[in-house]
Amino acid sequence: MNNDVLITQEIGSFRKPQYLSSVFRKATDAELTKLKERATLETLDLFNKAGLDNIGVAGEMYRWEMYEHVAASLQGIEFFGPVRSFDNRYYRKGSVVSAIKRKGSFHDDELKFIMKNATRKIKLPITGPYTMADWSFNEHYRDKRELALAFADILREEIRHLKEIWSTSMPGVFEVQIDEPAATTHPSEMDLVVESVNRSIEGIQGCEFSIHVCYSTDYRMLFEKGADLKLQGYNLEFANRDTNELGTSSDHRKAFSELKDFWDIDNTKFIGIGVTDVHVDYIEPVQLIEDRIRYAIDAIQDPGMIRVNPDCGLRTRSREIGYAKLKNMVDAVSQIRKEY
Amino acid sequence: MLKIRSIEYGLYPRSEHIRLSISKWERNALDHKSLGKLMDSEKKELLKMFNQAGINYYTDPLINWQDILRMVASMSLDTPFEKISRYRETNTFYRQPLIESYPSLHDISDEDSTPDSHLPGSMYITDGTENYAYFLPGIESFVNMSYVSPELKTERIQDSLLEIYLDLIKRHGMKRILLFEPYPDKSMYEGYSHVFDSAKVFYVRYGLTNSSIGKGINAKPFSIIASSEKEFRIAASHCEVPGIALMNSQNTRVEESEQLRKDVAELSSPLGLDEVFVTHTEYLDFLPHVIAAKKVQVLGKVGE
Repeated sequence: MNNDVLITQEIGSFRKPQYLSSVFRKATDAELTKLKERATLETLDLFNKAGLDNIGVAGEMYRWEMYEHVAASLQGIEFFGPVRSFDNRYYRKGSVVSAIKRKGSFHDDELKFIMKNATRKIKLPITGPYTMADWSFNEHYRDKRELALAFADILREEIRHLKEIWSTSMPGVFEVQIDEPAATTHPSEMDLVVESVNRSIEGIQGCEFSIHVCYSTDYRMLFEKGADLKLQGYNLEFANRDTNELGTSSDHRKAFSELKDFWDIDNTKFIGIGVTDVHVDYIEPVQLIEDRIRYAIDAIQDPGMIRVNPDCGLRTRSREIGYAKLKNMVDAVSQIRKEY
Repeated sequence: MLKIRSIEYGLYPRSEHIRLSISKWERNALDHKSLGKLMDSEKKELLKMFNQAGINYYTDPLINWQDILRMVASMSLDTPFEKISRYRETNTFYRQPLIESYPSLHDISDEDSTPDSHLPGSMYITDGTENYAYFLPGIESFVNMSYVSPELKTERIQDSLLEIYLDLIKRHGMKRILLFEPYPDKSMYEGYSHVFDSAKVFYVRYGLTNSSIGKGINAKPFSIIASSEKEFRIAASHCEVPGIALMNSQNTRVEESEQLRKDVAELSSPLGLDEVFVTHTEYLDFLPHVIAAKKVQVLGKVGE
């Protein structure tokens, strides 16, 4: 069995235990730190039990939400209240009212704790500059490009700082996932996505950078510009747009049919494929996940360049359902790995 | 003297109380009936607020519609929802209706409600005033935003939806309708003539062109609300009173009512209009609740 193929990984967030989520905005800093640590250890345990190769940062227990966590750590951003994402899910969208500046590090406590406690691979997700700009109300910068590049400069400072922490005690490369769910929202702004992401990692050595994109209306936009991204891999959502029927034909695996074209355009970056839908409680059977992976292997022909993940963070599912989905994902990979 | 009148329509941001109540209901800590009662009561308060702000025409704030299609889809499709889809170029998502057979109207109740379908509470709460308009998603948008089984014919789905709409118009006694078309076809659906004939229609249609309004349209909407100066000129020649979406619903900076009035007057002057409607660029649910409330006050003044 070859464990270097089809590396299983988390994308980012996982449902917080009630004891943490219910006091996240109320507890004192000291209390909150204890609860975040407890929740991180419990989630880490769950991920280890599921058998994930890469545990990310154990479900982002230090972050309330991917946008707000960064935005609240910056000067120049004001919050007027939450706005809707979908259904009854909300996020606090900040208004950029003056030049943005980093108040301090926004991920170092989480990284230090996970470095101390993880026994498996770590991957730090960080919200990308384009998404930060797209999800903010811009009331200060001349245009979106200026705002996105300002966020890129802030992220570069942060990643440099985190890399220094990593280098103090960890062997190997520091895996960083730039989360850009907004990347393909505006087709005319793909050049800005590439420019701002590249700027946020410019000159930083010793890291493996990937980009996470999800719920794109058209991945082709990403594929066509992706070759210009100076990073090593993609982690993408597919399961949400796939059928739940078993089978490895193109008819059954409609969502994955773009993979081959993608690979033809750029075969230098690994692709993390989303095999479980994070917006439904349906627990995809092992066989269905296997079929999805087998189809991807057939399209890409190199299982070493495929990673396997949920579509996105599992924070909207219960911890039980999230675990069941991850477990089936790992079991599906184990079945296929026997063949390598 | 140019008469400027204001319109507030579509999904309005939920208050914190409503958001938390929905969360409780999702966790079975609040029953259907209690949430439904709360929704209806909050809707009444919002209608009162729109009225007192001086808004000339307003719709139900739709706080129990999870997105612009959800309520209508729940009552017209068998297994209504598929995946989460991005709404236009925004960071907001909707559940894509799954059209696997031709739509037909069926009753829904609070007891059937689930977070994926409709939420408890009345489809519409009205205040009985002449200012109230019923909100309906455009038929073209309904189809374009849905997943449609390949064996089904688009025209027949549109016609089935039209029947449903005509039935709803009758059931609710709709005299004024705001028809919202964020995902239009190239040419306007000809069946709309029946809707335009049945009620006073304020038609918010994105991407209006001269060819949008096909020859098969026999009746005109009372108003077409345009999103740009160019579209506004087109709208002016195809309805009684054109409207323009000027208030930015994707920015927290609150506009000055006087400036908006000036902008409307400037746009209207070359067209020699007597009356014009002004509204926001999208529905206000893209804004924090507190900012939306401020914008409503400003919009009300624009229409004074």
